[in-house]
Amino acid sequence: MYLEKIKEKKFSTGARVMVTPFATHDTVSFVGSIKGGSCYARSDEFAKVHAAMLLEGTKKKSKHDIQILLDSIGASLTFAPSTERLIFSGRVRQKHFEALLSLIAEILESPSFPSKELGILKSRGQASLALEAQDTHEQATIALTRLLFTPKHPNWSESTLESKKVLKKITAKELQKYHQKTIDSGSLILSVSGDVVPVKIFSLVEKHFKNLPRQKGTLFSYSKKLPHTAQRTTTPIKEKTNIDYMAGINTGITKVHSDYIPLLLGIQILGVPGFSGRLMNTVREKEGLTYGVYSYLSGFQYGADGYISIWSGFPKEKFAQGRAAILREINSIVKNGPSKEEVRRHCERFTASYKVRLSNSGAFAASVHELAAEKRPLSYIDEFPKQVSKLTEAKVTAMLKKYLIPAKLSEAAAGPVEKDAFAS
Amino acid sequence: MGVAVQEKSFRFVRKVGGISEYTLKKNGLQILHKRESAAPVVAVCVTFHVGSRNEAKGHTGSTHILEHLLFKDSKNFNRANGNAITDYLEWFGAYLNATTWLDRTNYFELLPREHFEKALALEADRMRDSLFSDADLQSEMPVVRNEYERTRNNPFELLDEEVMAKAFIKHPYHIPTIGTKEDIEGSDEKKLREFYDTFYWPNNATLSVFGDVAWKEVAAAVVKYFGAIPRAPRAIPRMSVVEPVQKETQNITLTKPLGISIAMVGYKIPSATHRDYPALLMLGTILGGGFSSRLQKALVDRGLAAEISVSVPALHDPGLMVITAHIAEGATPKKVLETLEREIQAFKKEGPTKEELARAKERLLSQFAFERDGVFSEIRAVSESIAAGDWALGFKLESAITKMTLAPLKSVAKKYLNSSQKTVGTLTP
Repeated sequence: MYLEKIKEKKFSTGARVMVTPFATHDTVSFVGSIKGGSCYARSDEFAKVHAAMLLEGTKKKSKHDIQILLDSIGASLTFAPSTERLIFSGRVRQKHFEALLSLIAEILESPSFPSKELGILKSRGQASLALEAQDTHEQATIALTRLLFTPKHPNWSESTLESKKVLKKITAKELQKYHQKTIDSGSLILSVSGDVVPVKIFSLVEKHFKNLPRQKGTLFSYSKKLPHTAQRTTTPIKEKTNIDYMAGINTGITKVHSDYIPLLLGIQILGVPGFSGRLMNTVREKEGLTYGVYSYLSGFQYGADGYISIWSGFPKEKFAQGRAAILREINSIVKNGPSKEEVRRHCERFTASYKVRLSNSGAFAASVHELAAEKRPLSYIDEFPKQVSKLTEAKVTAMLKKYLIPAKLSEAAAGPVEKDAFAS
Repeated sequence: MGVAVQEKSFRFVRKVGGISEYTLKKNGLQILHKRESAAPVVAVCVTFHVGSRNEAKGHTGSTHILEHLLFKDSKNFNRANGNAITDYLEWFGAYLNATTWLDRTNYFELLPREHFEKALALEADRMRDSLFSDADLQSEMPVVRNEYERTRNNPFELLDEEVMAKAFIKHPYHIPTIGTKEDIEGSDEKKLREFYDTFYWPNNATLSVFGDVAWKEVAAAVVKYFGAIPRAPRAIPRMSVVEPVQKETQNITLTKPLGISIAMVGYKIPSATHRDYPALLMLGTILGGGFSSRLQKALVDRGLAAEISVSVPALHDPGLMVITAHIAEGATPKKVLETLEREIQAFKKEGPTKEELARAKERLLSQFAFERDGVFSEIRAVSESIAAGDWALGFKLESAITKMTLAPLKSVAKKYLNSSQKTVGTLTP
């Protein structure tokens, strides 16, 4: 159904461009990426600064020139690192797409990393990290990933304090060296969706990206992380009014593993964002303990072995009760499994909501990009909901029992929380 | 439904930007329809013309609490029937939610086209037949309290609330939509029921249906589900509080040991339907929108601010244009505020350049185009225009911006960016 709309061109370098016409009246959305990200940079902060500095100037254009150009064409454009890729994404009106594509190619090909701009960006970066340090959700997330993973794993997060130290030391020379060593035209993936003609986009990419350098470097590799003993940590931030709570467990599997889809549905039955998951039905709707409580499969992007995560937020006085309610629901679904009816309804919900998720050009471009970056066949865009619709209660229950092991669940909390909040 | 029946049930009002407006003759429900077949989905949004601006003293937060309670049982959609409002539509793949803001409350769904009638059935049912009880209120209160605490967890929202509270002394905009803690704690079912019975009527609402569905099908479903709902038995009360003219700069200082500093400056501006609003929207873009704005250059590019933003909210009544700066390491709110003032004075003196005008036009026109990428995004934008007083506001702004010249920008800067209309807030460690 969707596959036939996607037109793809593979370039001799190995680069892949996917274009999907979408009736969006003048808007073009795109998500692209190239080898890079925090794994190659060996630091989350270094990767962030590298991405941010790309808009600070090229060998031909100053920062001012870039800013003026982007505003002259009304475009949005961001560069941001993921774990293993440098992502660029944005939107622009159709008549300006070539100008924007040309700028992106120039930025990737010859960024200048000006020292003066780096100095300013660092002072801004320190302020952003100060903001991160008081963000309870961010701090709980960082703490959980540090309990679950080890520093070489893509899902391990640098602490805010570590990021501050890294930021202080970054030099323009290091950024330039990293860029030259990492950026590889052969790893380019670009997904474009909207008011576009595929052949025109293919020829524009060929025209503007032809000088992007090739690299021989190897891809990042690491060991998968299996579940280990439960660990708990708290990050007290006294001035706050809300505690962010995260629980999680490693899976040791990636998205291509045959257990992934049944586990995904099981985790959605537990706590899909929205109102139909068990956690929202009980912890919020029946017990009124929180505004939101959801569960996810996290950190599976681009081939990484991910983890199960459960998130909620509580006022201090409801924390113990809220946490107990979440753990009770986890124990219940693992022990008894979801009912046959629950599995059937969630299968139907998932397949129907798939159409809803892909109903604008930006979401479509992102989905196609993700498939390509994960080296999956594009036909998976149609196969995925079909595979979900075939799931059985027995299969989903087995996956929950196999991966969601309550005794190995690690927990993190940040906010007005006591240091010994997990003691009980 | 035949053409004759359609003509009998509806009055066609106008068509702007592909959106057709009708009125359901029987009860005055305003209906907006747009056929858009880019994806096999339909977006539905019911915008009630009531927001926190309609709340009486002592009952702040009522609109928002009521929005929560409208996810409890209604006559035909309830837990006993196994089709609870919270999750019924999700089983058919819908994304649904609701939001409350200063001028409106909206309930919305995005769902596969074949299920669009179910959303209309549900929205019609809870418009007049919500069964919320005191027990529902009591069970929902901790959820609302948690939302209140989560809002106050965010230092930007905290300062924004204080700046609004200082800028407005009489108009309800001085109270945040979520309400005061005392009023939230003191809310009772009887008062909320009164609020529901005052404002939740078809002649105080707009039903928007955008997506892969023809008007003929929409019309039939509207008659089927909304046709039997009566018009409000009494006139819907209109909020008539006028904010007294501000005479001097107001200041508010917050100290929070969070390790960050924020500076915020608000200027009183007219409502979104005022003739000066398009120029103010462009002024906001030139000052703080995009990559090359004046404040980006003066504050961010010089390392004084980590980030800046300028919001020019499209409100029903005169509101506040808010400039926010997250102070960078080594800089101070004082320095940022001085620089900001210099930039404002320079703009008032010299006005924008031709190039700035052209870039701001391109940026705003692009934003309008982006808003129409997907029916969900478009229906939410139209809901904000409804709240501001005219659902076609977005199209009118687009037209005004296309024609905008330099003179009105300088003129609105002189008229509105004055110290007597200014409120300054800072948050420091």
